[in-house]
Amino acid sequence: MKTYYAAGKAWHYSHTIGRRTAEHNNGNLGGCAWPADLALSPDGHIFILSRGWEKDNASHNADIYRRVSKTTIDENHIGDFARAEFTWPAGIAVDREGKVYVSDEYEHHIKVFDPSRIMEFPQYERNNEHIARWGVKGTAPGQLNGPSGLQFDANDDLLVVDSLNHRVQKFTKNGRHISSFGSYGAGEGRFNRPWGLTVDAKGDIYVADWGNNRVQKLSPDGRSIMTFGTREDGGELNHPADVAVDSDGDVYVTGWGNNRVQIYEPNGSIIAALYGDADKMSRAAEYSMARNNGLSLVAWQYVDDVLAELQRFERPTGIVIDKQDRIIVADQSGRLQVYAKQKQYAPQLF
Amino acid sequence: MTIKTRTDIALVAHLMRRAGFGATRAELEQLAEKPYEDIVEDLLHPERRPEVDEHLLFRYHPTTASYGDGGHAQTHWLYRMVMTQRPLEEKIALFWHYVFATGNAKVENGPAMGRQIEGFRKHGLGNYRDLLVRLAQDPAMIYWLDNNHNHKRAPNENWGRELLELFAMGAGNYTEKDVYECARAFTGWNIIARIGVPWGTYPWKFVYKPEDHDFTQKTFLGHTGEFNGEDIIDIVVRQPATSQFIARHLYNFFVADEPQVPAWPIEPPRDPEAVRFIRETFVDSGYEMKPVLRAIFNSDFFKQAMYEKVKSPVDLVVGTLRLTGDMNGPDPRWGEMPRDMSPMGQNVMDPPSVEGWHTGREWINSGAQLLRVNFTSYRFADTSLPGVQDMISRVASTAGETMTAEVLVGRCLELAGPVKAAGATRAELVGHVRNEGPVSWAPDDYDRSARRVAELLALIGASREFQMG
Repeated sequence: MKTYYAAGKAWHYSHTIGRRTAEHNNGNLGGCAWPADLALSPDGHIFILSRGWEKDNASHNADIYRRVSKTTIDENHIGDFARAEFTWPAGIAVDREGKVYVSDEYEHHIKVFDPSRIMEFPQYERNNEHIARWGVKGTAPGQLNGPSGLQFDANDDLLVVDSLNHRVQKFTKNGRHISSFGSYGAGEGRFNRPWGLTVDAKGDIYVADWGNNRVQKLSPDGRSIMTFGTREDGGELNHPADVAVDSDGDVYVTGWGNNRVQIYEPNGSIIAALYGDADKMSRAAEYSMARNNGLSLVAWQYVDDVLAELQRFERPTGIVIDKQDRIIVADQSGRLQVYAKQKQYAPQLF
Repeated sequence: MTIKTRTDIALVAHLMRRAGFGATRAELEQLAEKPYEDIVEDLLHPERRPEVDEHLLFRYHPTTASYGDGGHAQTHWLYRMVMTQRPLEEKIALFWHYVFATGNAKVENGPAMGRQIEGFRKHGLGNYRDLLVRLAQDPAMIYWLDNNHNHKRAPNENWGRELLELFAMGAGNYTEKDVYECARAFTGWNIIARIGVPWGTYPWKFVYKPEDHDFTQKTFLGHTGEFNGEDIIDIVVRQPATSQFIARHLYNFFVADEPQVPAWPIEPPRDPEAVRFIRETFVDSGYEMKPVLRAIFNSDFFKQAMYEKVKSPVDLVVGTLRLTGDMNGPDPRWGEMPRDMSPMGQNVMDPPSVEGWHTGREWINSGAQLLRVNFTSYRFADTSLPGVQDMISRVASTAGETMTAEVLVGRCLELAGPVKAAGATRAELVGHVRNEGPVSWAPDDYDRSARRVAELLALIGASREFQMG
């Protein structure tokens, strides 16, 4: 088991969830396809938003790869929904009632789903699963242009990264505009195609400022507090996609452009980085490798030099942290990697 | 003092079609401020211009980041062709893809295909000998031509044969014994096939297995020794047949359409002097590509070869997208673009065989022509596209309040290429405009006239002359 440690804390690689697939199969056999973002339900389930394929293949319409998958952290895949509902799904969030909100950065709107519905693969009901939809394209306050990251705040209002308008907007759950902050630029409080965001226990907002290679921390009303990821502190970020905060206030950023998760202390000091450690296959992966009469599994064992490369993150996107401070990271290999944080750790040197 | 001279727009457009995929009027006018030779030098030094912003591509089209499957690798390349400010970098990659045709239909590994094209892009303007060595070690090529089955005790001749016949010398310039000896020299040049399931497809790696290499003596093209693969390539590159073969390929791709490759042993080049000049420059430069391309682009035979090629589907599609500004960034339609181009007769990264595509007039048949016309006309007729809007405003800005049909047609032909259309085509275009009445650019008439310009551009896009580049 791989362990990273620094500043009296440790992060232990735990396990991997899922595989790249459009299938869903109840049990432990599901997965995702180019996951764009993650969210946690109030009862601790993980929702995975799949960006999917961009072209039809011989047997499937590409639209059904774009979907939301629901799994437990121990890889009990519950099912998928919202197939054929999106063009470019980008961000996902869950409100207090458990409803799921998804942004579509091509259609410039937010769709709302009942997560209890399961759509069996390869079925879909095009544009017929969402229970609400709001948002129109534009630049005026309340209008959207390429919405990506989503996060509910303590009031259960929805923060939306309005990426191509280079700002963050706050809405009620039914889409009424509350406030907007940010504009294009590289200065404090300005953004360049921001992607994901999160909110900490105090209500402060962290935005992955993708085009500026940094994370900005903002007060609940949008005032700039601090910036992470500058070259000077050695924690340089390369096109960060998403950000999460654990119960100690440590900040985790998915470095989409340099294949790592960068960890900072609340004051912005860099602590460590996770690089991906999927040294064992997920259950879904084992299933897919074994089902072809075991041939694929034999081949896998034969090319063990590949493993070191495969276990690394490949363009990590979404990141969430559960109540037990387990860090869950999606990457574009079509899987999630889970790390457990140990709050006090002294390495055994001998 | 050096006097800088401007360059004729039509000549710049010709150069940009051949060394790239065409250019907009604004780009042509900017380039034309320079002497012709300076434009050529800029093309030959792509590092002077910024790279394509792949971060943007990969964020919005994540399947292209690791090339996904073959289709995503195709999307990646087509996106680069449309977006690049370094057009010769992509055009030389396309040239080598024509010559060293490799197909994902067999390889079935998008990352391996994508990396092969990356190699052509990165090294395609370099040395031909070095490129052949890289090609012999390219995993997609090794798998495509079965060199992974070429063993010391059981040679497989596929790679060796195609190296001589299609990648270097041309048919009729070697014996069957040479093919066999060539194959033996490449035994042990193999790949590690990496399994991607369940987390996607991963690129393969070249591996040299000395235990599977035949170290014994070989006699190849009159030379005898314990040759390995690189020794064979050194001998092949020095053959006069090789320089003639590559020179003819360069003429066919960059200058004017030649007969199809299988006919070359029996049909002479259409311009033997030009091919001789290219061949000699190639040899004199030590098989370096930049000096050869510089000599070609600056030659009189190149400058006189305007409209002497039928546009390939790639030239037509990429050129139309660049000219009209359609899909000038991330767009959901990118995923289907390779599939749309395939019925036109060119599915990049999936040529019909190792012989590559038949070019020139063979691009055109009744089915393909319909698709070509639809593709260009649909975009030229779309007044919402920035490139079309630019052409309309340029027509309007040079007009008085009214404009004759002849002037309008002349201006649109100029902006769409320039396109060389005379005789019946021009007369039909003029007749069409006349039938619709006078063209007025008075404010109340502007929108209607703009639509008429777009319609005329669409007709030009459908013309026989627009198919030539």
